[in-house]
Amino acid sequence: MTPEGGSLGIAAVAARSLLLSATSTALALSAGLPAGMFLAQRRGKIASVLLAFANAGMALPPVLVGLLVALSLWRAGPLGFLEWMYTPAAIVVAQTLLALPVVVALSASAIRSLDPELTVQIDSLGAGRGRRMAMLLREAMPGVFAAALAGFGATISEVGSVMMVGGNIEGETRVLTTAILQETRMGNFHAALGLGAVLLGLSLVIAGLFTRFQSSR
Amino acid sequence: MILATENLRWSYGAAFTLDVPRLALATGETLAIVGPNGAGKSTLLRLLAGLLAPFEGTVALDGVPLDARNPVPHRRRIGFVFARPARFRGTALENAAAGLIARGRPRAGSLATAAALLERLGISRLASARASTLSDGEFQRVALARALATAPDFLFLDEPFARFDPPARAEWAAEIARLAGEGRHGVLLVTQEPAEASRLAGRIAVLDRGRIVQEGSSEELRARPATPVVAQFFGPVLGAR
Repeated sequence: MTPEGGSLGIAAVAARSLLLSATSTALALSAGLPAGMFLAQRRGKIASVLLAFANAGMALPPVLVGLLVALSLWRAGPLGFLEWMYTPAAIVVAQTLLALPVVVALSASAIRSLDPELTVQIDSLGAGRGRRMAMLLREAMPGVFAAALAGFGATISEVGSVMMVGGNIEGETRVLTTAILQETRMGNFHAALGLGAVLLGLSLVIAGLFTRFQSSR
Repeated sequence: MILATENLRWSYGAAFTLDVPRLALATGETLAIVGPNGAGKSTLLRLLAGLLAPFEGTVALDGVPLDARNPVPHRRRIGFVFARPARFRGTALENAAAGLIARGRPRAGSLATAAALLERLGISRLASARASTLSDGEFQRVALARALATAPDFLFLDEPFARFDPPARAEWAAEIARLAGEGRHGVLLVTQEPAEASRLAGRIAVLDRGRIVQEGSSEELRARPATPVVAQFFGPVLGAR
């Protein structure tokens, strides 16, 4: 068992996983919801192509994302001056890039599934652009929650890209998925299963909270 | 305040063209637009409200033309009650306050204004009910409160009686008559019912296939119908409707 394998250590790894995933999801939502909204309301060819990219992005190979982020953040890379490689910031970048297309595609789909008449009636109320967007998002809330949850799922379960850009450094960038991988490689299957149970529990709790909030709206 | 159009023209491909050279409505006045299905009544209403673009010609409020790139100021002068008003998530009270909240007014004040209107319209008991649980008739009143909450200069009513049974229609017509009688709004009523148009509006415009074929009081339309469609609506059939 690694030094972070004790109950306090597991709690720290779990907390780090949660924090990095929550940060990545929040960033993906803040960029992805307006983008999804924009694409949902455009009918032109460019919007269709961008939406197709977002849909394809949901199946983006995480290792490829990890590779691209690593190449960018590497010392000689274009963003090397940030010195983010093997830091939690690098993990957030990779996870955000993975969650972003999920949020864009699912939120655009949620907005597109609204009755077009709803937009006309919101316009008739004299809503400005920002309020119009907020009202549409509120009406599409179940779909927006699903987008947020799927984005969170994509980040907390990610291992390949996180390993590449985070490096699984104990006490710094080790998260639940990379810890599970490490324990498995070392043959510590009980520890790996324990960490897996923690990851599953966390995911279930978050999904439960989302679902509860979703059904209360 | 006067809402007026000049050479208004809007096309939906080659299939339909709305062509209204001139139409005006002043606050305190009630104008009814009557016509058969597909005549363009709702389209005309939406054009006047700044909800459809692009179009040819002008729609102006007190001489200020509607700017299609920024129609929000124009829309804010108009309260619109749709035939099937949207039920937003939340309570009847929140729905009634939606217009104020959409304009960035503080939530507490918006809800208080909406509550006062629900009271005035006799539906304060519905305030805390979820909008999705209300009957069509109940929600139509909430939609009226939503339109009135913003104190509009003009009130647009798109077939407001269409989904009501006769007693509810009479009750609604009385409510609209009372509102129109207050003289605070210019009321533009779209209906297929000539009897209701005659009762509520001082002036009636008959729209047929995108064109106003006759405009005048119900007596004038009845006495001298300009086209068979006008005669159909305001001729001997009127008494039977």
